[in-house]
Amino acid sequence: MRKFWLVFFLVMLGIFSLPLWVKSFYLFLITEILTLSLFAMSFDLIYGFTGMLSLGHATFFGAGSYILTLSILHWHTNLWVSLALAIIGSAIIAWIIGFFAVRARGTNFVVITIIFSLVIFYMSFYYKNITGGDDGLPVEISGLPLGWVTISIYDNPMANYFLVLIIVSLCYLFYRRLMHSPMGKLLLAIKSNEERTSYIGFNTLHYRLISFCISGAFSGLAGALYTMTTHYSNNKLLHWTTSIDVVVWTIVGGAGTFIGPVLGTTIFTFFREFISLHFKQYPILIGLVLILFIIFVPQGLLGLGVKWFRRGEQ
Amino acid sequence: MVPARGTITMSEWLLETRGLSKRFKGVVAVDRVDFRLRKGQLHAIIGPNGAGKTTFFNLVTGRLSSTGGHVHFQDSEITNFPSYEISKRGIARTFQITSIFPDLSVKDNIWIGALSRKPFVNPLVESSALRDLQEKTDEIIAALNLQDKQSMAAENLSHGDQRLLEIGIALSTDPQLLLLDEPTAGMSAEDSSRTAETVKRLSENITILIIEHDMDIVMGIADCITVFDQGRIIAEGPPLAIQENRAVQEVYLGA
Repeated sequence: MRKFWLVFFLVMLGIFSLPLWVKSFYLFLITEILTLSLFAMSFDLIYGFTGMLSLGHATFFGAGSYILTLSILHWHTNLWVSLALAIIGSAIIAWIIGFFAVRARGTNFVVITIIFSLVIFYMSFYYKNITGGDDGLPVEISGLPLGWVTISIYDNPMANYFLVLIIVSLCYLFYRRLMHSPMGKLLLAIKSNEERTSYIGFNTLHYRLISFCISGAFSGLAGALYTMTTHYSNNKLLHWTTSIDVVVWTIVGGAGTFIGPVLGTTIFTFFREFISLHFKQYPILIGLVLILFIIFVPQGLLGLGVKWFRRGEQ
Repeated sequence: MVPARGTITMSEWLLETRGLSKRFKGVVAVDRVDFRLRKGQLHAIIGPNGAGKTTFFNLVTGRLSSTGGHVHFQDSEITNFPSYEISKRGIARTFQITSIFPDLSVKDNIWIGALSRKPFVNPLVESSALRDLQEKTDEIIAALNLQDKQSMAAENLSHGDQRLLEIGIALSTDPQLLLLDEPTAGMSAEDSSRTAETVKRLSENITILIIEHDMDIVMGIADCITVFDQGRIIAEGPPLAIQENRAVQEVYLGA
């Protein structure tokens, strides 16, 4: 336990000092990675822990982004209120979709999540006057009231970086606590054998739905933080490729660990940034990597690293 | 109407079914079964394959919904209740094909069962902080003699130990009635007799209803036996009476 906190604080120290020694482009990229990491951790909660493969998780990411943007544009809310609305709104959408989806298992669950996400994606085209469609909606991020001062995040990448870093770190600590709590064990039990879980007295639908809603709410927060960083919402965030991306990051990084998805997100976002410029067939490469991982490294990069580390110890 | 049986009052019956039936597209798997189980007994259900024994278990525990009749447990109706609700009321079961949590450790398999009796599943405390659950888990693991294997993933246990672990999971929910579906199926002779001993020992504290094919075990441990054939009860009574029952002999020997 002490070891964990030592490592956590050292990593935090490194991350907190980043703005001192990296260029502003990298600071932006790292902030983006942090927001996407929260998205991947949230996906891991339902996939890695509860055993539900959602291929429509972009819905919540996009919803959080749009709720932040629209609340600022139409209601001129401050940033705290917008972020809170993004969490609550995404949780409500997750509850509505989850209400139907968690009743299905396996392929049917996957299909329901895909259909809902496609419907919402096409609705974003239909209501172009609200969503901005392909072009998206630029947004000037409102101020962040802290006591008697209001900090501007919009024109201050460093303040934005620290805010994202603190929120994502708190979310990680929440997920970590959840993982070691009775609820975490129960979700793993549902993943391992749902019928048996039901025969010892748990209403598994109830817990699958709770897990889906928590995941949806935090995915929405991730979307809102993403927009806070990039200053726009567009319907690409709701697209099915966004849903697939988060699956790839999580599986390659190592599902069921929370840290694995962060690792996967970091590697893939860096690769996308630097390789896709020179290699146009980049998506094909991603597909191949995913197939190879599913077949040869099902435990993901983190699992592989731990295995090597242990072998070295022996 | 259920025919009167002796002078036992209603409260002495832990489980009672009246006219319980299950039809699958033209096939009657359980046919108007009136069954009573007395508190504190080790009661066995026997019968040839396809007699409706497991279907009867599935109707009682909510795995299947009945097409007719009623199930009462401790004087309250539980007909077609969902399985988790039936478990909460005090009925635990094991399955013909072992059903454990293969990815969890042996200890966590039991721990999760014990957790089910808590009114609230907390997402914000460390699991290890729930001392009472740890103690209960250790107790059950010791009773099953699985201490040496408690940290192993359950999927790596031998078949016999997995069957035993499944009984442990059921016990961790503090049941008043334990339904065991062929607990010795696929076991070596040694494991079978170890399991039979465990079941006998457990029956001192819990009412047990057991489906079992091994006649030596049934005759050795059961207080009362019910014989199913083609979805109906054809005989019921103490082991000796069942052995001598002509209808039962016909079903088993085809005489």
